[in-house]
Amino acid sequence: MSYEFFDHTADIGVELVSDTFEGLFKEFSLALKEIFIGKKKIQTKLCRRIHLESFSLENLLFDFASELVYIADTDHFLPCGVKTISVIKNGNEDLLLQAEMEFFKIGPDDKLKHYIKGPTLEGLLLKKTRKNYRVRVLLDV
Amino acid sequence: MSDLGLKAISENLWELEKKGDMKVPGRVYANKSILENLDHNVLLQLENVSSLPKIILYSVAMPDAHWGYGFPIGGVAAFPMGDGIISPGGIGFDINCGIRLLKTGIPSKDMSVKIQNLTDTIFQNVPLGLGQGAIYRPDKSEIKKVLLRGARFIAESGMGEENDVARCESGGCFQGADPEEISKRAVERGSSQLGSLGAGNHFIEIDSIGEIHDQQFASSAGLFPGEIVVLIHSGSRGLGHQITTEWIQVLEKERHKKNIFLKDRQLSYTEINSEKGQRYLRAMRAAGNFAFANRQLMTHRVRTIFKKLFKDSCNVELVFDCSHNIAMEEVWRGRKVLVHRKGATRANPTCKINYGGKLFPAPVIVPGSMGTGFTLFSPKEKCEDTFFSLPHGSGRLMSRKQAGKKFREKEVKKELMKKGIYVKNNTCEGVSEEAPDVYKGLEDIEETVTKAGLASKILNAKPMGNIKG
Repeated sequence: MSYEFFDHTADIGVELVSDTFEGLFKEFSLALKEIFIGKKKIQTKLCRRIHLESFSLENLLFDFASELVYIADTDHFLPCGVKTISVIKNGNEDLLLQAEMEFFKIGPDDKLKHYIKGPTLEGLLLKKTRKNYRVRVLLDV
Repeated sequence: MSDLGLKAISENLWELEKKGDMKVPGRVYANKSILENLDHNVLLQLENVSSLPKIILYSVAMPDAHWGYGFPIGGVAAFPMGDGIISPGGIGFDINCGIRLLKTGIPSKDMSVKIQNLTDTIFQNVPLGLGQGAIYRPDKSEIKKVLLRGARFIAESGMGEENDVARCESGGCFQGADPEEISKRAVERGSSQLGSLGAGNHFIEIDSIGEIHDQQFASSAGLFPGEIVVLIHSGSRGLGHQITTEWIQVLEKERHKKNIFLKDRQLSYTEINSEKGQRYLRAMRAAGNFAFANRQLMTHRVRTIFKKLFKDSCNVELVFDCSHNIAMEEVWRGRKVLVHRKGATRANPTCKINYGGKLFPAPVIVPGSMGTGFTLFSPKEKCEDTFFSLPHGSGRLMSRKQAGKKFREKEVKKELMKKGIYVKNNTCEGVSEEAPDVYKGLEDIEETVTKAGLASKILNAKPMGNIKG
């Protein structure tokens, strides 16, 4: 499992790699944390559950990032990891994500690396290789 | 033909010929230097925009065009109001992101306050980013008024002066906004950020006017060489971002249901006259009004700071406020069209603004990097060729990742200080990723638009202090 940032002129792109759907979301939360505040270690963590549903994995990733950006903006909780997560198909063939996410509270004096406005759908396409899943997500900053 | 396969129309105008799914060709405004450095991704995005249904004549890339999402940043496209489409990807997350220019009446040679003190005071008093609060906390009824009336509501609430509204594009208020179209989540994000700068490329810059090219305009507007002026660049903050996110989700579901294939799903669209199209337009206009109100509040705060520091020796007046991320209903060659501008400024010489009792075409503010200042342009009739649009900046050349590797915050600030430009930043990357060399030269933008006959220069200004969000 890994994530890596790729070049984009105006915004920030991240490529997520994992052998499971759940792993993609775990990597995404770590990448978002790095975009927000860098690699510094977080001491105090808070937990919050999130539930999302979408018709494709790509759209679920979009919704996941949107949800985390919304929480950051309103509660000033930034994501820093995933405690538990499951991605399953529900009866309508939609994908259902249930996760217990880890956050930390940012104070007015904490310097951010970047502020994320939201995820985009630009080039958002899941690729399945023999070994794993790969997906590129572009975030507007 | 250029190396990128573009056909020359004139010295500074190039055509991406129609191919594949393209309904119309693409047009690129670029001088030699801009063309040499043009990212091929801009052309891919231009091609995607040209493939949208009902697009009129051609999709346009301004000289500052660079790789964005959906439309290129610096992209323009028009669609018929009757049966055309609207795409949030042609507007962007930061609905009605825009820039305003304030004059102060203070000659830089007589500045009684050091630029560092002035910059620091603004930095300390204008909320910048996440968790730093806002100038104004509206209650439920006030936020509705903000969404409905934009800068007008703020000015009428005692936080504006006589010309503030008249010198905003669309009078600081987009008609046809509906606060009921704004979700609870968007209101929640926006209510705590009304009157705050935001991050990324948002900034407040203190400049000194340099050369004046249009003396008639400058005299009427009371602008003079050496005058201290202020730029404020910001948008609709989390409220606009939330609306865009929600509508992308809605239109994506619809696209999926109808099984429509799009080369770039960020260009999901709906018909303007559909129920969803009309609802998105009403929501977009309300977010646009939030952005006007946001910039008005920061103007009020900057004005208060100047009054406190300079007493009666200053008179902070709005020169103009331009939007550069919006779709607007306009008349073009006798047709009613919806012009999408994503990182492009409306530039219609028939839209007049009163300066000192005389009417002038609404000016266009084009900032360069934090090391170069800005140019004020006057649009010409030839702008009809760009659906009445001009650039919104000088445009990025380098990716954020490359810039982060190449430039260090401290060194960039030190180099700028040597040139007399003092920088205060909120986010660490706000300086390295926005370093002057990351951007195209403002002189190339000037050359392209003036030689293409789109606009003439009114004046240039040089930066002295810069606050990065």
